Amino acid sequence: MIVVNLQKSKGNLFFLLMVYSAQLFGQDSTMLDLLNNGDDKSPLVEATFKTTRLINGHSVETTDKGVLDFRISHRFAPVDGGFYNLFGLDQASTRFGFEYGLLSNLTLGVGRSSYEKSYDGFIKYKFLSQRIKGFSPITAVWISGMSINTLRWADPNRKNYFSSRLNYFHQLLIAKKVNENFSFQFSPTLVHRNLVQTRDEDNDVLALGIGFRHKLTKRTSINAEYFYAGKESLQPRYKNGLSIGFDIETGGHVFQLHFTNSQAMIEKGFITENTQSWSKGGFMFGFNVSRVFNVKKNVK
Amino acid sequence: MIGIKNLKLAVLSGIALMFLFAFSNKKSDNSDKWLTKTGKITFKSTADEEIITAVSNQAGLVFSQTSGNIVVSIPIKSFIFEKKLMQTHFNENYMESGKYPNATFSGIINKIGTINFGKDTTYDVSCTGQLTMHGQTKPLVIKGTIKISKNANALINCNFDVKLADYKIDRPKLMLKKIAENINITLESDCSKFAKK
Repeated sequence: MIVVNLQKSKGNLFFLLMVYSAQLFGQDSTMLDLLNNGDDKSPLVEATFKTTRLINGHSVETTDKGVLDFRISHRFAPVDGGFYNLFGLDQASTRFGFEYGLLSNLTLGVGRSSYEKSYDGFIKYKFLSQRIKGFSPITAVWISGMSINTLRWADPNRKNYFSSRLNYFHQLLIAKKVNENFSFQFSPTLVHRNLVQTRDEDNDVLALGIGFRHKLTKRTSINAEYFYAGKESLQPRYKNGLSIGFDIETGGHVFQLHFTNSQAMIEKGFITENTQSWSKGGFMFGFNVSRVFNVKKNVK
Repeated sequence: MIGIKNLKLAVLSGIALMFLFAFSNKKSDNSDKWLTKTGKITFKSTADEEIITAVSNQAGLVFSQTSGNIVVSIPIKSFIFEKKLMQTHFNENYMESGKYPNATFSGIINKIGTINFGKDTTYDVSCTGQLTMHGQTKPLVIKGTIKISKNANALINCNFDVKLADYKIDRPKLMLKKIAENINITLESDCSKFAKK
Protein backbone atom coordinates (compact mmCIF):
# COMPACT_ATOMS: atom_id res chain seq x y z
CA MET A 1 0.00 0.00 0.00
CA ILE A 2 2.76 2.38 0.87
CA VAL A 3 4.45 1.68 -2.44
CA VAL A 4 1.25 2.43 -4.30
CA ASN A 5 0.82 5.71 -2.45
CA LEU A 6 4.35 6.72 -3.28
CA GLN A 7 3.78 5.98 -6.92
CA LYS A 8 0.63 8.02 -6.85
CA SER A 9 2.27 11.01 -5.28
CA LYS A 10 5.09 10.73 -7.80
CA GLY A 11 2.49 10.76 -10.51
CA ASN A 12 0.85 13.85 -9.08
CA LEU A 13 4.16 15.58 -8.71
CA PHE A 14 5.02 14.81 -12.30
CA PHE A 15 1.67 16.13 -13.37
CA LEU A 16 2.14 19.36 -11.46
CA LEU A 17 5.62 19.76 -12.93
CA MET A 18 4.19 19.36 -16.39
CA VAL A 19 1.58 22.02 -15.71
CA TYR A 20 4.25 24.28 -14.28
CA SER A 21 6.63 23.85 -17.19
CA ALA A 22 3.83 24.38 -19.66
CA GLN A 23 3.11 27.61 -17.83
CA LEU A 24 6.76 28.68 -17.98
CA PHE A 25 6.99 27.87 -21.64
CA GLY A 26 3.72 29.67 -22.24
CA GLN A 27 5.06 32.77 -20.57
CA ASP A 28 7.87 33.11 -23.11
CA SER A 29 5.79 32.32 -26.14
CA THR A 30 3.06 34.79 -25.17
CA MET A 31 5.70 37.42 -24.56
CA LEU A 32 6.94 36.66 -28.08
CA ASP A 33 3.39 37.07 -29.33
CA LEU A 34 3.38 40.58 -27.92
CA LEU A 35 6.26 41.36 -30.25
CA ASN A 36 4.73 39.91 -33.41
CA ASN A 37 1.38 41.44 -33.96
CA GLY A 38 1.37 40.23 -37.54
CA ASP A 39 2.13 43.65 -38.94
CA ASP A 40 5.15 42.66 -40.98
CA LYS A 41 5.03 41.98 -44.67
CA SER A 42 6.50 38.61 -45.48
CA PRO A 43 10.17 39.03 -46.40
CA LEU A 44 11.45 38.71 -49.95
CA VAL A 45 13.09 35.52 -51.06
CA GLU A 46 16.75 36.26 -51.70
CA ALA A 47 19.30 34.70 -54.00
CA THR A 48 17.14 32.60 -56.30
CA PHE A 49 20.31 32.31 -58.36
CA LYS A 50 23.89 33.21 -57.55
CA THR A 51 24.28 35.82 -60.24
CA THR A 52 22.50 37.63 -63.06
CA ARG A 53 23.13 34.85 -65.60
CA LEU A 54 22.04 31.25 -65.35
CA ILE A 55 24.71 30.30 -67.90
CA ASN A 56 24.20 32.16 -71.18
CA GLY A 57 20.78 33.57 -70.53
CA HIS A 58 19.71 36.06 -67.93
CA SER A 59 18.46 34.84 -64.57
CA VAL A 60 15.87 36.75 -62.54
CA GLU A 61 18.61 38.26 -60.40
CA THR A 62 19.19 41.97 -60.85
CA THR A 63 22.28 43.88 -59.81
CA ASP A 64 21.79 45.49 -56.41
CA LYS A 65 21.16 49.21 -56.23
CA GLY A 66 24.33 51.23 -56.58
CA VAL A 67 26.36 48.17 -57.47
CA LEU A 68 28.42 47.78 -60.63
CA ASP A 69 28.91 44.28 -61.93
CA PHE A 70 31.85 43.76 -64.27
CA ARG A 71 31.57 40.53 -66.21
CA ILE A 72 34.04 38.74 -68.42
CA SER A 73 32.99 35.65 -70.33
CA HIS A 74 34.76 33.28 -72.68
CA ARG A 75 33.56 30.42 -74.84
CA PHE A 76 36.33 28.35 -76.29
CA ALA A 77 36.29 26.24 -79.44
CA PRO A 78 34.62 22.80 -79.45
CA VAL A 79 36.44 20.19 -77.39
CA ASP A 80 36.41 17.80 -80.36
CA GLY A 81 39.35 19.80 -81.73
CA GLY A 82 41.37 17.40 -79.61
CA PHE A 83 44.79 17.84 -78.10
CA TYR A 84 46.10 19.76 -81.13
CA ASN A 85 43.78 22.65 -80.18
CA LEU A 86 44.09 21.83 -76.48
CA PHE A 87 40.44 20.77 -76.56
CA GLY A 88 39.35 24.11 -77.93
CA LEU A 89 41.28 26.39 -75.60
CA ASP A 90 43.36 27.77 -78.47
CA GLN A 91 40.46 29.86 -79.68
CA ALA A 92 38.00 31.93 -77.72
CA SER A 93 34.89 33.92 -78.24
CA THR A 94 34.69 36.64 -75.59
CA ARG A 95 32.31 39.14 -74.12
CA PHE A 96 32.85 41.73 -71.44
CA GLY A 97 30.19 43.90 -69.97
CA PHE A 98 29.22 46.37 -67.30
CA GLU A 99 25.91 46.19 -65.50
CA TYR A 100 24.68 48.75 -63.04
CA GLY A 101 21.83 48.59 -60.56
CA LEU A 102 19.96 51.86 -60.96
CA LEU A 103 17.40 50.56 -58.46
CA SER A 104 17.38 47.28 -56.65
CA ASN A 105 14.97 45.99 -59.30
CA LEU A 106 16.20 47.88 -62.36
CA THR A 107 19.46 47.08 -64.13
CA LEU A 108 21.09 48.66 -67.15
CA GLY A 109 23.81 46.76 -68.97
CA VAL A 110 26.18 47.14 -71.89
CA GLY A 111 28.64 44.72 -73.43
CA ARG A 112 30.95 43.97 -76.28
CA SER A 113 31.32 40.53 -77.84
CA SER A 114 33.87 39.24 -80.28
CA TYR A 115 30.94 37.38 -81.88
CA GLU A 116 30.16 39.51 -84.96
CA LYS A 117 32.01 42.31 -83.14
CA SER A 118 28.73 43.07 -81.43
CA TYR A 119 27.85 45.80 -78.99
CA ASP A 120 24.83 45.08 -76.86
CA GLY A 121 22.70 46.83 -74.31
CA PHE A 122 19.71 45.87 -72.21
CA ILE A 123 17.29 47.06 -69.60
CA LYS A 124 16.04 44.62 -67.02
CA TYR A 125 13.16 45.23 -64.65
CA LYS A 126 12.01 42.97 -61.85
CA PHE A 127 8.31 43.65 -61.42
CA LEU A 128 7.45 40.83 -59.04
CA SER A 129 9.51 39.34 -56.23
CA GLN A 130 8.83 36.02 -54.60
CA ARG A 131 7.96 36.31 -50.92
CA ILE A 132 8.41 33.71 -48.23
CA LYS A 133 4.71 33.65 -47.39
CA GLY A 134 1.63 35.08 -48.96
CA PHE A 135 0.59 36.05 -52.40
CA SER A 136 3.75 36.25 -54.42
CA PRO A 137 5.02 32.71 -55.11
CA ILE A 138 7.33 33.61 -58.02
CA THR A 139 9.78 36.22 -59.21
CA ALA A 140 9.14 37.78 -62.61
CA VAL A 141 11.40 39.96 -64.69
CA TRP A 142 11.06 41.71 -68.02
CA ILE A 143 14.15 42.29 -70.09
CA SER A 144 14.57 43.98 -73.45
CA GLY A 145 17.81 44.41 -75.28
CA MET A 146 19.46 45.03 -78.57
CA SER A 147 22.75 44.31 -80.23
CA ILE A 148 24.66 45.89 -83.09
CA ASN A 149 26.74 43.80 -85.42
CA THR A 150 29.78 45.86 -86.43
CA LEU A 151 31.46 43.46 -88.84
CA ARG A 152 32.49 45.01 -92.14
CA TRP A 153 29.81 44.51 -94.76
CA ALA A 154 30.15 41.17 -96.49
CA ASP A 155 29.39 42.82 -99.82
CA PRO A 156 30.28 46.54 -99.70
CA ASN A 157 29.16 47.05 -103.28
CA ARG A 158 25.51 46.48 -102.64
CA LYS A 159 23.24 48.90 -100.82
CA ASN A 160 23.72 48.26 -97.10
CA TYR A 161 21.50 49.69 -94.42
CA PHE A 162 22.59 50.44 -90.86
CA SER A 163 19.32 48.96 -89.60
CA SER A 164 20.48 45.61 -90.99
CA ARG A 165 23.03 45.52 -88.20
CA LEU A 166 20.42 45.64 -85.43
CA ASN A 167 18.94 42.74 -83.51
CA TYR A 168 16.51 42.78 -80.63
CA PHE A 169 15.30 40.47 -77.92
CA HIS A 170 12.53 40.55 -75.34
CA GLN A 171 12.26 38.11 -72.53
CA LEU A 172 9.94 37.31 -69.67
CA LEU A 173 11.74 35.50 -66.90
CA ILE A 174 9.69 33.59 -64.37
CA ALA A 175 11.52 31.85 -61.58
CA LYS A 176 10.81 30.14 -58.33
CA LYS A 177 13.12 29.28 -55.49
CA VAL A 178 11.56 26.02 -54.38
CA ASN A 179 13.81 25.58 -51.37
CA GLU A 180 17.26 26.63 -50.19
CA ASN A 181 18.91 24.47 -52.83
CA PHE A 182 16.65 24.27 -55.81
CA SER A 183 15.45 27.06 -58.10
CA PHE A 184 14.06 26.87 -61.63
CA GLN A 185 13.22 29.33 -64.33
CA PHE A 186 11.16 29.64 -67.51
CA SER A 187 12.25 32.21 -70.05
CA PRO A 188 9.91 32.71 -73.00
CA THR A 189 11.90 34.80 -75.48
CA LEU A 190 11.37 36.66 -78.71
CA VAL A 191 14.44 37.35 -80.81
CA HIS A 192 14.09 39.69 -83.78
CA ARG A 193 16.79 39.99 -86.43
CA ASN A 194 16.45 42.84 -88.87
CA LEU A 195 18.51 40.96 -91.41
CA VAL A 196 18.71 37.20 -91.76
CA GLN A 197 21.10 35.25 -93.95
CA THR A 198 18.64 33.49 -96.23
CA ARG A 199 15.18 34.17 -97.56
CA ASP A 200 13.86 31.04 -95.80
CA GLU A 201 14.65 32.25 -92.33
CA ASP A 202 12.18 34.10 -90.16
CA ASN A 203 13.16 37.46 -88.74
CA ASP A 204 11.35 36.61 -85.52
CA VAL A 205 12.21 33.55 -83.50
CA LEU A 206 10.13 32.52 -80.52
CA ALA A 207 11.94 30.35 -78.04
CA LEU A 208 11.36 28.91 -74.62
CA GLY A 209 14.22 28.74 -72.19
CA ILE A 210 14.17 26.45 -69.20
CA GLY A 211 16.80 26.19 -66.55
CA PHE A 212 17.53 25.31 -62.97
CA ARG A 213 20.22 25.53 -60.37
CA HIS A 214 20.86 23.08 -57.59
CA LYS A 215 23.18 24.02 -54.77
CA LEU A 216 25.83 21.47 -53.89
CA THR A 217 27.21 23.43 -50.95
CA LYS A 218 26.50 26.92 -49.64
CA ARG A 219 28.88 28.39 -52.20
CA THR A 220 28.67 26.05 -55.19
CA SER A 221 25.88 24.88 -57.43
CA ILE A 222 25.23 23.03 -60.66
CA ASN A 223 23.14 24.74 -63.31
CA ALA A 224 21.55 23.72 -66.56
CA GLU A 225 19.86 25.69 -69.28
CA TYR A 226 18.10 24.83 -72.54
CA PHE A 227 16.63 27.13 -75.16
CA TYR A 228 14.11 25.51 -77.43
CA ALA A 229 13.32 27.34 -80.64
CA GLY A 230 10.85 25.50 -82.81
CA LYS A 231 11.91 23.78 -86.02
CA GLU A 232 9.54 26.09 -87.91
CA SER A 233 11.52 29.21 -87.13
CA LEU A 234 15.08 27.84 -87.10
CA GLN A 235 16.81 26.45 -90.15
CA PRO A 236 18.08 22.88 -89.72
CA ARG A 237 21.68 24.05 -89.64
CA TYR A 238 20.98 25.78 -86.32
CA LYS A 239 20.67 23.82 -83.10
CA ASN A 240 18.96 24.51 -79.82
CA GLY A 241 21.31 25.65 -77.09
CA LEU A 242 22.04 23.35 -74.18
CA SER A 243 24.43 24.28 -71.39
CA ILE A 244 25.51 22.64 -68.17
CA GLY A 245 27.44 24.62 -65.62
CA PHE A 246 28.98 24.86 -62.21
CA ASP A 247 28.98 28.05 -60.09
CA ILE A 248 31.50 28.95 -57.43
CA GLU A 249 30.99 32.00 -55.27
CA THR A 250 33.85 33.59 -53.34
CA GLY A 251 33.14 36.91 -51.64
CA GLY A 252 32.70 39.50 -54.38
CA HIS A 253 33.35 37.11 -57.28
CA VAL A 254 31.17 34.51 -58.91
CA PHE A 255 32.87 32.03 -61.24
CA GLN A 256 30.65 30.13 -63.62
CA LEU A 257 32.24 27.24 -65.49
CA HIS A 258 30.29 25.39 -68.12
CA PHE A 259 29.99 23.27 -71.20
CA THR A 260 27.73 24.59 -73.93
CA ASN A 261 27.11 24.33 -77.64
CA SER A 262 26.66 28.11 -77.92
CA GLN A 263 29.60 30.22 -78.93
CA ALA A 264 27.83 33.56 -78.61
CA MET A 265 26.91 35.28 -75.37
CA ILE A 266 24.17 37.47 -76.76
CA GLU A 267 20.59 36.25 -77.12
CA LYS A 268 20.56 36.55 -80.89
CA GLY A 269 23.52 34.18 -81.03
CA PHE A 270 22.92 31.59 -78.34
CA ILE A 271 19.22 31.22 -79.08
CA THR A 272 19.09 31.36 -82.86
CA GLU A 273 22.57 30.79 -84.29
CA ASN A 274 24.15 27.74 -82.64
CA THR A 275 25.92 25.78 -85.32
CA GLN A 276 27.44 23.24 -82.96
CA SER A 277 25.67 20.12 -81.81
CA TRP A 278 26.24 18.22 -78.58
CA SER A 279 25.53 14.91 -80.29
CA LYS A 280 28.48 15.48 -82.63
CA GLY A 281 30.90 16.47 -79.88
CA GLY A 282 30.39 20.11 -80.74
CA PHE A 283 30.25 21.43 -77.22
CA MET A 284 32.79 23.81 -75.77
CA PHE A 285 34.15 24.87 -72.44
CA GLY A 286 33.40 28.37 -71.22
CA PHE A 287 33.32 30.59 -68.18
CA ASN A 288 31.74 33.77 -66.86
CA VAL A 289 33.42 35.77 -64.13
CA SER A 290 31.46 38.38 -62.27
CA ARG A 291 33.05 40.94 -59.99
CA VAL A 292 30.90 43.48 -58.17
CA PHE A 293 31.92 46.95 -57.04
CA ASN A 294 29.96 49.04 -54.58
CA VAL A 295 29.55 52.42 -56.18
CA LYS A 296 27.01 53.66 -53.64
CA LYS A 297 26.47 52.66 -50.04
CA ASN A 298 23.54 50.45 -49.23
CA VAL A 299 21.23 52.55 -47.07
CA LYS A 300 17.58 52.17 -46.31
CA MET B 1 -11.78 0.06 -9.31
CA ILE B 2 -11.34 1.24 -12.84
CA GLY B 3 -14.21 3.64 -12.41
CA ILE B 4 -12.60 5.19 -9.35
CA LYS B 5 -9.28 5.55 -11.17
CA ASN B 6 -10.97 7.31 -14.04
CA LEU B 7 -12.78 9.56 -11.62
CA LYS B 8 -9.51 10.46 -9.98
CA LEU B 9 -7.96 11.17 -13.33
CA ALA B 10 -10.89 13.35 -14.28
CA VAL B 11 -10.64 15.32 -11.03
CA LEU B 12 -6.90 15.72 -11.46
CA SER B 13 -7.25 16.91 -15.04
CA GLY B 14 -9.94 19.27 -13.89
CA ILE B 15 -7.62 20.75 -11.31
CA ALA B 16 -4.84 20.96 -13.89
CA LEU B 17 -7.13 22.77 -16.31
CA MET B 18 -8.12 25.20 -13.58
CA PHE B 19 -4.46 25.83 -12.96
CA LEU B 20 -3.90 26.47 -16.62
CA PHE B 21 -6.82 28.83 -16.77
CA ALA B 22 -5.64 30.62 -13.69
CA PHE B 23 -2.23 31.11 -15.26
CA SER B 24 -3.53 32.04 -18.67
CA ASN B 25 -5.76 34.66 -17.10
CA LYS B 26 -2.72 36.06 -15.45
CA LYS B 27 -0.89 35.96 -18.77
CA SER B 28 -3.46 38.06 -20.57
CA ASP B 29 -2.82 40.82 -18.04
CA ASN B 30 0.15 42.59 -19.53
CA SER B 31 0.12 45.70 -17.37
CA ASP B 32 3.51 44.70 -15.94
CA LYS B 33 5.08 44.43 -19.40
CA TRP B 34 7.42 46.85 -21.11
CA LEU B 35 8.22 46.53 -24.76
CA THR B 36 9.65 47.90 -27.98
CA LYS B 37 9.60 46.63 -31.52
CA THR B 38 12.18 49.05 -32.81
CA GLY B 39 15.22 48.29 -30.72
CA LYS B 40 18.51 49.01 -32.40
CA ILE B 41 20.92 46.12 -32.61
CA THR B 42 24.38 46.48 -34.09
CA PHE B 43 26.98 43.86 -34.65
CA LYS B 44 30.62 44.34 -35.31
CA SER B 45 33.13 41.84 -36.57
CA THR B 46 36.69 43.06 -36.08
CA ALA B 47 39.06 40.85 -38.04
CA ASP B 48 42.65 41.40 -39.16
CA GLU B 49 41.76 42.57 -42.64
CA GLU B 50 38.24 43.84 -42.37
CA ILE B 51 35.77 45.40 -40.00
CA ILE B 52 32.20 44.54 -40.79
CA THR B 53 29.19 46.12 -39.14
CA ALA B 54 25.48 45.76 -39.66
CA VAL B 55 22.46 47.33 -38.02
CA SER B 56 18.87 46.33 -37.49
CA ASN B 57 16.19 48.61 -36.12
CA GLN B 58 13.70 45.83 -35.70
CA ALA B 59 14.82 44.21 -32.47
CA GLY B 60 11.72 43.32 -30.48
CA LEU B 61 12.12 43.26 -26.71
CA VAL B 62 9.57 42.63 -23.99
CA PHE B 63 10.08 42.18 -20.27
CA SER B 64 7.97 41.91 -17.19
CA GLN B 65 8.72 44.26 -14.31
CA THR B 66 7.31 41.78 -11.81
CA SER B 67 8.82 38.45 -12.85
CA GLY B 68 11.86 39.82 -14.66
CA ASN B 69 11.18 37.57 -17.64
CA ILE B 70 12.64 39.00 -20.82
CA VAL B 71 12.31 37.95 -24.46
CA VAL B 72 14.19 39.49 -27.38
CA SER B 73 13.53 38.59 -30.99
CA ILE B 74 15.39 39.85 -34.05
CA PRO B 75 14.52 39.06 -37.67
CA ILE B 76 17.87 38.12 -39.25
CA LYS B 77 16.83 39.59 -42.57
CA SER B 78 16.42 43.01 -40.96
CA PHE B 79 20.17 43.56 -40.68
CA ILE B 80 21.41 46.18 -43.12
CA PHE B 81 24.99 46.08 -44.36
CA GLU B 82 26.92 48.77 -46.15
CA LYS B 83 27.53 46.34 -49.01
CA LYS B 84 24.41 44.65 -50.27
CA LEU B 85 26.30 41.57 -51.42
CA MET B 86 27.59 41.06 -47.88
CA GLN B 87 24.01 41.21 -46.70
CA THR B 88 23.04 38.50 -49.18
CA HIS B 89 25.95 36.33 -48.12
CA PHE B 90 25.15 36.93 -44.44
CA ASN B 91 21.63 35.62 -45.00
CA GLU B 92 22.46 32.89 -47.50
CA ASN B 93 25.78 31.46 -46.44
CA TYR B 94 26.22 32.28 -42.79
CA MET B 95 22.93 32.73 -40.92
CA GLU B 96 20.77 30.71 -43.34
CA SER B 97 17.91 33.04 -42.54
CA GLY B 98 15.54 31.12 -44.81
CA LYS B 99 15.79 28.20 -42.41
CA TYR B 100 16.33 30.21 -39.22
CA PRO B 101 14.53 33.53 -39.65
CA ASN B 102 14.94 34.90 -36.12
CA ALA B 103 17.47 35.12 -33.35
CA THR B 104 15.77 34.98 -29.95
CA PHE B 105 16.91 35.47 -26.42
CA SER B 106 14.81 34.34 -23.54
CA GLY B 107 15.82 34.80 -19.93
CA ILE B 108 15.39 36.55 -16.63
CA ILE B 109 16.58 39.96 -15.53
CA ASN B 110 18.24 39.21 -12.21
CA LYS B 111 17.01 41.05 -9.10
CA ILE B 112 14.32 42.95 -10.98
CA GLY B 113 12.80 43.70 -7.55
CA THR B 114 15.55 46.18 -6.78
CA ILE B 115 14.51 48.41 -9.66
CA ASN B 116 12.18 51.27 -8.84
CA PHE B 117 10.23 51.91 -12.02
CA GLY B 118 8.80 55.14 -10.66
CA LYS B 119 12.06 57.01 -10.34
CA ASP B 120 14.62 58.33 -12.84
CA THR B 121 17.67 56.19 -12.21
CA THR B 122 20.09 54.03 -14.11
CA TYR B 123 20.66 50.52 -12.85
CA ASP B 124 23.38 48.04 -13.68
CA VAL B 125 21.66 44.77 -14.36
CA SER B 126 22.53 41.30 -15.48
CA CYS B 127 20.41 38.90 -17.36
CA THR B 128 20.65 35.11 -17.50
CA GLY B 129 19.09 33.14 -20.28
CA GLN B 130 19.47 31.38 -23.56
CA LEU B 131 20.26 32.73 -26.99
CA THR B 132 18.94 30.82 -29.98
CA MET B 133 20.22 31.54 -33.45
CA HIS B 134 21.11 29.53 -36.53
CA GLY B 135 19.20 26.67 -34.92
CA GLN B 136 21.53 26.48 -31.91
CA THR B 137 20.69 27.39 -28.32
CA LYS B 138 23.37 28.39 -25.84
CA PRO B 139 23.22 29.79 -22.31
CA LEU B 140 24.27 33.41 -22.07
CA VAL B 141 24.75 35.94 -19.31
CA ILE B 142 24.49 39.55 -20.45
CA LYS B 143 25.43 42.61 -18.45
CA GLY B 144 23.87 45.95 -19.22
CA THR B 145 22.00 48.93 -17.89
CA ILE B 146 18.38 49.92 -17.52
CA LYS B 147 17.68 53.62 -17.44
CA ILE B 148 14.26 54.46 -16.11
CA SER B 149 12.71 57.77 -16.94
CA LYS B 150 9.52 59.04 -15.36
CA ASN B 151 7.63 55.80 -15.29
CA ALA B 152 7.29 55.95 -19.06
CA ASN B 153 10.47 54.68 -20.63
CA ALA B 154 13.01 52.03 -19.81
CA LEU B 155 16.14 52.26 -21.93
CA ILE B 156 17.99 48.96 -21.98
CA ASN B 157 21.56 49.00 -23.23
CA CYS B 158 23.90 46.09 -23.37
CA ASN B 159 26.97 44.85 -25.13
CA PHE B 160 28.23 41.30 -25.34
CA ASP B 161 30.19 38.90 -27.51
CA VAL B 162 29.07 35.73 -29.19
CA LYS B 163 31.36 33.09 -30.57
CA LEU B 164 30.32 32.06 -34.07
CA ALA B 165 31.49 28.48 -33.58
CA ASP B 166 29.05 28.07 -30.65
CA TYR B 167 26.19 28.59 -33.04
CA LYS B 168 27.68 26.47 -35.83
CA ILE B 169 28.17 29.47 -38.09
CA ASP B 170 31.09 28.42 -40.26
CA ARG B 171 33.79 30.73 -41.50
CA PRO B 172 35.42 29.41 -44.66
CA LYS B 173 39.22 29.30 -44.57
CA LEU B 174 39.48 32.11 -47.11
CA MET B 175 37.48 34.36 -44.80
CA LEU B 176 39.35 33.72 -41.55
CA LYS B 177 41.13 37.07 -41.82
CA LYS B 178 37.98 38.90 -42.84
CA ILE B 179 35.45 37.59 -40.35
CA ALA B 180 36.19 37.61 -36.62
CA GLU B 181 35.83 34.57 -34.40
CA ASN B 182 33.80 36.54 -31.88
CA ILE B 183 31.18 39.04 -32.88
CA ASN B 184 30.43 42.03 -30.68
CA ILE B 185 26.76 42.84 -30.30
CA THR B 186 25.25 46.07 -29.00
CA LEU B 187 21.59 46.50 -28.18
CA GLU B 188 19.86 49.79 -27.47
CA SER B 189 16.17 49.46 -26.87
CA ASP B 190 13.84 52.11 -25.62
CA CYS B 191 10.91 50.26 -24.08
CA SER B 192 7.64 51.80 -23.11
CA LYS B 193 4.96 50.44 -20.94
CA PHE B 194 2.54 48.03 -22.57
CA ALA B 195 -0.56 49.85 -23.67
CA LYS B 196 -3.82 48.10 -24.39
CA LYS B 197 -5.18 48.62 -27.85
